[in-house]
Amino acid sequence: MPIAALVLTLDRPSSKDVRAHLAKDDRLLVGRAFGARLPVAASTMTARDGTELIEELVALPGIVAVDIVAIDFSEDEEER
Amino acid sequence: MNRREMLKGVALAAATAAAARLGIAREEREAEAAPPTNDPTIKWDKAPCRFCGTGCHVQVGVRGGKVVAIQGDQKAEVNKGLLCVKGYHVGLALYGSDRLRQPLLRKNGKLTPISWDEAIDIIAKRALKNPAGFAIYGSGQWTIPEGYAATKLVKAGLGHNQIEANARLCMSSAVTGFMATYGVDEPAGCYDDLDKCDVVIFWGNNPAEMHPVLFSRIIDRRTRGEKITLIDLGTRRTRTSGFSDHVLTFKPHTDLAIANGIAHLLVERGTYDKDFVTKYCSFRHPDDAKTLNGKAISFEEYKRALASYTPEAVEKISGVPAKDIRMLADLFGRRDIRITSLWCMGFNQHTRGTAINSLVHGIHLLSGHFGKPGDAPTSLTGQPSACGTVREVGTLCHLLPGGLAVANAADRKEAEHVWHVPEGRVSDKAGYHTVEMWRRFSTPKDKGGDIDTIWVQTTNPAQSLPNVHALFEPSRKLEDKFLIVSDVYPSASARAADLVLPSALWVEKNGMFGNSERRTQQWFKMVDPPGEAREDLWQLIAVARRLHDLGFSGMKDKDGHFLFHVEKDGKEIPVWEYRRFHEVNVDERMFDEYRKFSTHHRKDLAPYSEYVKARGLRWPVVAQPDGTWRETRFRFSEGDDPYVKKGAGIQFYQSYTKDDRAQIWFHPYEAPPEAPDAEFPLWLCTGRVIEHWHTGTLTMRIPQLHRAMPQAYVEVNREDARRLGINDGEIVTIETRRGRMDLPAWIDGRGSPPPGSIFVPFFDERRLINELTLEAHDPFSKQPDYKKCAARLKRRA
Repeated sequence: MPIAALVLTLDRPSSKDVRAHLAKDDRLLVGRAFGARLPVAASTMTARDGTELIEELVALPGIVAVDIVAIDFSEDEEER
Repeated sequence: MNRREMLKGVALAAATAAAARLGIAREEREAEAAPPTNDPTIKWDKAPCRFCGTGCHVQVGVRGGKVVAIQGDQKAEVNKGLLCVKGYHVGLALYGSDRLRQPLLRKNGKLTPISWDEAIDIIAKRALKNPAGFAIYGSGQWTIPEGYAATKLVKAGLGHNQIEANARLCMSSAVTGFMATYGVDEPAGCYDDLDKCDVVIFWGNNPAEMHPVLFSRIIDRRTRGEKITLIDLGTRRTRTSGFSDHVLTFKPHTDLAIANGIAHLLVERGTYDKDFVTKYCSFRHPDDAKTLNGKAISFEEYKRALASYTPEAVEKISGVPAKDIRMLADLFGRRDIRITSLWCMGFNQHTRGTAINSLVHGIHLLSGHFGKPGDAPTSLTGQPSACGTVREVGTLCHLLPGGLAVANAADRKEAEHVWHVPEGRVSDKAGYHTVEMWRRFSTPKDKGGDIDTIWVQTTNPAQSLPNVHALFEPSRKLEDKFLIVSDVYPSASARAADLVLPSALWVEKNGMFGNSERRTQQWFKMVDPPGEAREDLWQLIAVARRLHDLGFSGMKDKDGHFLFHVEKDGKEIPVWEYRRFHEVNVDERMFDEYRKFSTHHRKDLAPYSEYVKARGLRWPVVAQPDGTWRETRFRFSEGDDPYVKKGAGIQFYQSYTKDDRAQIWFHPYEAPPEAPDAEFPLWLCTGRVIEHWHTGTLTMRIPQLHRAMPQAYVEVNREDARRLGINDGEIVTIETRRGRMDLPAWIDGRGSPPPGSIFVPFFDERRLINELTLEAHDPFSKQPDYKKCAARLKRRA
């Protein structure tokens, strides 16, 4: 990746359980929710890790969708 | 704070801005305040995404001549700053390790480097030797100027109509459905309908995976507490089913019976919109000659034709319970809700594709669920410019730009006028549709194979044609057949070609696309293509010029000028010389010539310069008294569509009955051309997956997407698997009457087919499922049915 801006859509506005779970993840920086939309910055070592992280987030209970706002892969030389 | 922490903070700011706008619907202006990055070494510019037909805009970050960052464009109405997993990786599509970098000619069986000059000469001499046997085959990935130049080269230059595009395989039934109903192609509604509707019906459509940004836009409304009912009508469960309130699984091919069942109830109960129908609609039935216009019938005849489609009869045909047919009719019978229908390949890749498209338009017209925000029947497309290039430019064997037809003398005259070529230059004889073109290419000349050269650009027919054993592979063994492929990677088609041309991709060139909602989009070249790769547009012009120089008179206009004559400051620029190609914006010249065609069917386009400023504009785009240009969201509706007369309310001004009415069709349900039997007891359906785009030429080279979905598989129903003794992950053999293939079984995986059906994605070139599919096609659109054929499955011997 290594840095991506994501918007998570939660199944209910300001779900504290989901926020608490995400806050424990070192790869994520969690912002202030706007209704059911939660902004998150994700930092991973490689683009592959980033893709896997998104898959993990999609699979988490309480998360309806993960949308990608931005991706910076300028420092990721994996397989390029 | 280190650089990484700083970038993370910037990313959070961008995400926060997007979440704020989406979550509480703040003004777009506020969201734009978030910078994509504070790295001053990155230069940003806009472009539409290279993948599907949704038409998301991205901001592309370039540093040191390479694309290094991608951001969803927050100014874009389509995606409002969001992207899907493919859009997220679109920048990496440029950087696969095996990009084609130089022209290659097959010599003694091996592809060998040659110069561009030799390559152009070879193509021109093939065309010169037998112009009538020289065909061009492109796609909805052609940019608008590329498609326009290819059309002009063939129709104004070579003087015939042997040009087709792979969009014939993906949306031509949508075209014929629109034509048969409204007299003109493309949806009346737009994506704004998704923000206003109360009900969305997915007709054989899986937008959660195929058009995820649009699906996210719908789901977002639910998370904001809005009530929106989703109905999934399909032949297998998908990710879309998981979000739907009603999942109605029907037997393949029986969607016509369901549509007729809904219409039957609306008429029988009197819940159709009498006022709307009386004012704006007529009724139509297929004629014996099977023309697209059919024959007029009365309302009473229409009612009688529908009489046998009772809910119970439809249940028997389709497997959908009668109560659910009534539920659908109840919804359409209500005037207090707004209904949007969405469909894509499930309807179009269908031997009754034109019929089912027409029937669903008909239900919306019959019930008056049309022409108001949220009330719309809308087809989606799979390629970024299937609409903008193939449908609007007309890169098909029977069309001319702007929706004109080669069969119409006045249309040909108009094209000859715009192209400034002698009268009679444009042929009145349609070329061969895609399946026929490739069949003739794969047939020896002495047996009627009169197409001897095909030049392929921006597509991969060796993988995407149906029944490739019959339509593609034989040509590779015939000495007089010559295949030219312009591509960015060594696709299955490129590897089989006689001559390979390396092409520039996406932001390595200027471009314009047109998305599913009539939105025309523009971008500028941002990075150089690798090696000697060059623009497809340049390739077309260079071949035209070589033909001109070899004395082929068709490459001159009435005044003796080269067909692609480009001037700057009163002097001709030899844009056929690559070193001079970038001295002018050839895209702009092509587009501004092409837009002269656009007013004929009220598909008005603005000047090129307007698209430079915008994130796309939806046609018709008309000039305002103050000099600005205004787009149209809801076509045929008074107040939004500038061509609707004041007081008309709704006006179908392109109606082929010349009375401003749309046609409500009756088409009977008929059995499919091939269905499961004792020998081949299963239905085989093919399609796409979220990670890969079409034949996977681009996405299989993006390591992250390749790893996420590395190979094709066959989805098997758990009951069928148990009965056949198949375990999850086991390699099994699929057989149809056309071939066999081994694939790993995935039982109740991502998608879930009902008992008696299997599903295989077509992205994997190592597993060409189209060696097994049926080439039977719709009689009107000529689009093949990839979704249904009979198959059997067994454990590998």
